[in-house]
Amino acid sequence: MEEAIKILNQLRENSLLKDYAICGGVALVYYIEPLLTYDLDVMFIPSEKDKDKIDVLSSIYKYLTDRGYQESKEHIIIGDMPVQFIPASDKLTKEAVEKAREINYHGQNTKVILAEYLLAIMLKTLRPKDKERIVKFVDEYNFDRELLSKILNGYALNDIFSSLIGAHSDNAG
Amino acid sequence: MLGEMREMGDNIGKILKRLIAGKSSLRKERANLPFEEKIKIVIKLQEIAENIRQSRDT
Repeated sequence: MEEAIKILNQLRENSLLKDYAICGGVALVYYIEPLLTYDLDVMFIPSEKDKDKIDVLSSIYKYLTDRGYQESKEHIIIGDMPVQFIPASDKLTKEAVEKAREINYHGQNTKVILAEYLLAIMLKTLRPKDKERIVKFVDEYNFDRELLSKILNGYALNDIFSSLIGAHSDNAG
Repeated sequence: MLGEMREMGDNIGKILKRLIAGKSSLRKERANLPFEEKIKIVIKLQEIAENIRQSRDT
């Protein structure tokens, strides 16, 4: 993953993206016990020159393929890591990237989406995989309740959160 | 007889409680590992999943 982070920082330094933060399974692993995940999901805010383009990924992909990195379905392989670039396309995801936590990974600076925003994003996407992860996340992580409540209220995610966690509690008996 | 069964039930309950508490503390321990260490575990999990996939396919 070191090479992927080095390249992500290069993309930001060369203004191919405005900012980025790690999200998805790897971000979840930052907060709770390790779980199986196959790729590195990166949420990014497009650069000024790309932000109005239909294909906001084209400049990034060109930069990477010019340097020999291979595309594979929705990923681009950097080192040994399939990386998926996800544009921050709405207010929630942009805010999540802007407010992400700065961390250090093997001597390199990078950013990870805050736990409270990560949960909100999963509540919004709500794939079967997200539902499982949300239950695990809530069970294992001690959230900043004030921040979580502010985000869930602000993005109208409270009801969906309550029904999901309520249903889990009922099933757990 | 009823007393023995009750005692057995109590013992099973105690064992289960210990197991659940043990699992939960292990989970906490793993959650508190440095991020770099956690990523190493993720890579191991990927290798195990790949081995299982390959052995299932052959």
